[in-house]
Amino acid sequence: MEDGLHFNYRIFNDLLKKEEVYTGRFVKYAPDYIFQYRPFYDRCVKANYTKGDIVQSNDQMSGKHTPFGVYFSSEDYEKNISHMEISSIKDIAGLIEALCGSKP
Amino acid sequence: MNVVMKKILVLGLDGLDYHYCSFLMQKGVLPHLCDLKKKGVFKSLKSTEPANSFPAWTSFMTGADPGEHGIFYPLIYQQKNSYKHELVSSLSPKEKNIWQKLSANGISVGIINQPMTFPVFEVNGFMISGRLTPHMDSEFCFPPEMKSELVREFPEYRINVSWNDFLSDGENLIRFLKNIDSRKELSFYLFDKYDPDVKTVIHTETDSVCHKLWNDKKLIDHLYIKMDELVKDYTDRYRDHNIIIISDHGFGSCYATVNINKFLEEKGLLEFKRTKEEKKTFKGIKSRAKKILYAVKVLETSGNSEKKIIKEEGAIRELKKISIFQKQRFFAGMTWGSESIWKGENPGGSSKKERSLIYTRSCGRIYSLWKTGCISIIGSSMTF
Repeated sequence: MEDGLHFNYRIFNDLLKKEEVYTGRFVKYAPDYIFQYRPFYDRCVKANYTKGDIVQSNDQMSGKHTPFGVYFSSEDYEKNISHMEISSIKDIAGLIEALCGSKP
Repeated sequence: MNVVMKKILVLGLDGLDYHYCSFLMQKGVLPHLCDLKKKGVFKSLKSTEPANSFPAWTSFMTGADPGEHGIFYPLIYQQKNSYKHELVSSLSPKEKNIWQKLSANGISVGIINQPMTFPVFEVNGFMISGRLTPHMDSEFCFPPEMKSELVREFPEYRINVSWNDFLSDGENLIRFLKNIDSRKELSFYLFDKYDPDVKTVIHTETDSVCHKLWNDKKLIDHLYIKMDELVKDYTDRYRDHNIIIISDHGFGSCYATVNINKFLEEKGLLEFKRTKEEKKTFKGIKSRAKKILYAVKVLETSGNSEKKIIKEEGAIRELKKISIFQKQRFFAGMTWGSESIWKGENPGGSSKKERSLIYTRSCGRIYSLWKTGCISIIGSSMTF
């Protein structure tokens, strides 16, 4: 685990250097979001190296993403706007544009 | 915006699961979401493929799928034919986003905590960036002068709250719930003050908490009840708006992670190149490991307990210096039953029977080192 931590932090630091693109300065110390995003960094990093077992027990996370989120609306826009079907998150941009009248 | 059209409020609840939400609504513990369902619509919303916040929220902003906008994960490959990664940012998507399009049409927008909006860009209204904002010192507001106002009015506001391993799950949950309130207060303040035509706020605490606590349904229920109250606060305050509440993906239990590359390597389908540095270190490890083996062997025969402890500590220290990865490579390639190992260590030679005895005892010692975590995986030819 110690090795894993060390290894990942090196990768974090490499990634953080990329912040130069954003802020124009080198980020020396790990900001909060390293810890926030530790689980997915672990996954990303491990996916490209041979470290760890084939199946790793996951003490970092007890929940994982699944494909279905929620959609609530105060009105049934699909009825009111022709050709509007909302089934995926990518449909929301079109809905907002249609509600704003900026999309024909 | 056309004057006869209502303004819009988009409330994003990152990772609110459709199935669990339906389950709690049926149980009657989410009354405000049930109300919204009765008056309007409630249904599942398919996430992107993969179901991850960064491609999903980018799809929300652009109306495109990951194949079109180019965001599949929070990391992207730097160049073609390269495995080097860099973090995604608002500059990464290939498609124009809805905020830019609405702004170009003269519609004012107010965006708070939308992932993938750092660095912030110019819009007709204001923008407070969300996830992947490096820290609170970053320029996370548009217009930039808004930051001083925000810091003055909401000194406690945080874009991200990190999980504190020193606190209990319940205490951590309270911290996240407080941040939900803090973000809500900030949203009310900015939305009321600037009153943009399209108001968007994304609460990402749900995702962070569900990652950590999904298997503790008592705490998750607390979170969902909190989100239900949050929905009430927003819908009461902006009741004259078109209200859209969405989440970018759902949640389920996570038990383990499968390392595909490791699996392929074990099957002999994938091989990794050794760097120069690795090769150099590898030589060092080999000689060090040989010394350790020899030390272990001497210890087994000497019977000096004091020396034994000192040497053993030294051996452990040495082994700790070697990374698990390197140990695997070294020990996996070693033929434990082979005479060659011992020939190098004990040139004087002892009888075959003695060597066999020493070997067995040493294996036991190495096994105990392995048990204490100093050696992670030992070659398959070493059996106990």
